Amino acid sequence: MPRIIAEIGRKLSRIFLGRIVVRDLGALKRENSAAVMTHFRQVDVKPLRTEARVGAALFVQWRSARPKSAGSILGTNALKNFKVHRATMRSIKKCRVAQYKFTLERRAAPRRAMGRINRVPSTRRNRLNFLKKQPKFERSSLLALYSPIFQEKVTKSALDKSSGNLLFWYDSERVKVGGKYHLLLLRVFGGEAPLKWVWLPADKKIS
Amino acid sequence: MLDKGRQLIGYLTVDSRENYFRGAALVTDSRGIPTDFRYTEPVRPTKLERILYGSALDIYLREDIILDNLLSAIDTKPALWLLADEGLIGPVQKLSKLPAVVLETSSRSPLETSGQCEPTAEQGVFMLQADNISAPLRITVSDENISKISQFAQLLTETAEDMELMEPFSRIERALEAVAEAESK
Repeated sequence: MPRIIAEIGRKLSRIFLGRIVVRDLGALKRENSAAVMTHFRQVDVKPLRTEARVGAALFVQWRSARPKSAGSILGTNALKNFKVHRATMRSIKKCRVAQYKFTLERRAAPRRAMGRINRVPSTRRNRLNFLKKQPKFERSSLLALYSPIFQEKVTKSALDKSSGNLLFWYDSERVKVGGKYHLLLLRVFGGEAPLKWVWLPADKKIS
Repeated sequence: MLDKGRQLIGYLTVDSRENYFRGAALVTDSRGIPTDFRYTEPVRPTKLERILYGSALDIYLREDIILDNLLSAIDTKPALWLLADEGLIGPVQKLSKLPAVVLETSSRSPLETSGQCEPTAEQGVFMLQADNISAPLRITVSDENISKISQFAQLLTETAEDMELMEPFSRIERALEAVAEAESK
């Protein structure tokens, strides 16, 4: 509506007043010029992860400087302690090669220990459980049977009560061997000593 | 071949436990009296040695180091080596050029007669009734010695008349414990 009224006013002033409307060509061009827009699209790249923001960098203790934020350290005397050295490749020219000495063979050199093994007693287990037929003894019962033992070569013997095994030592230097024996341990009923040791020649069958 | 005249029996063990290897050899007469005893110090391979030798370390230490040293040091050669580890039969026979068998206790009921030796379902494994008042012993022999099992059984049965066949193994163990105890002081 205002545009139509302005057009009527302009025509009347031309008819009656002889005025011609002078217009700026540039403005007319601008009015009629087509707006040119690019058909390219701009890609807006946004990171998927959240933006990392560093509030303050905490330093470990540097000499006497206490742990502080980076901002507080910059500009202080602590920075004077940093020096930049020129890197040289000279040190790599000398490389010491170490030889590993294999000593396993030397470490496994055998030792002779006859004295040691002679001090360790021989043992005999109680074989009573393997007797097919236990011998009968008057007023006593058989508790244990140890065999075979060369009686004349025995220098010392002991009964290991925890295992029931007989421990004994042979005299390895004694030449006389003698016969071999079974050693029986009997429980005596009504006797002065409740236990009794009996040597029985091994050639005498007991089973 | 077995030397029945001397009747010496050898006992040989190689332990690999608690990160160390240790070996011992005991030769006894037929009554169990020691005629020779050798042992090695516990060999503890370093971490670097374990890396350098890799999976060959166990075999190298057992066979090339401990067994070879022990067997070459033994003065009196036994008629038969008795072992506790089946893996040692081959190396011991090769290094000592003497027969070796593995001897173990069993929980089987006794066989009929002393000296009786019966094969089992396993190849090269036999049960031997060494004496008449114990459980039968389990004997493992190498394939090339299966034909000699009757000779081994005869020797072991004769020896069992005068000693307990398995007993020296425990004596070796106690001797090594005594050595270790004495050296730790």
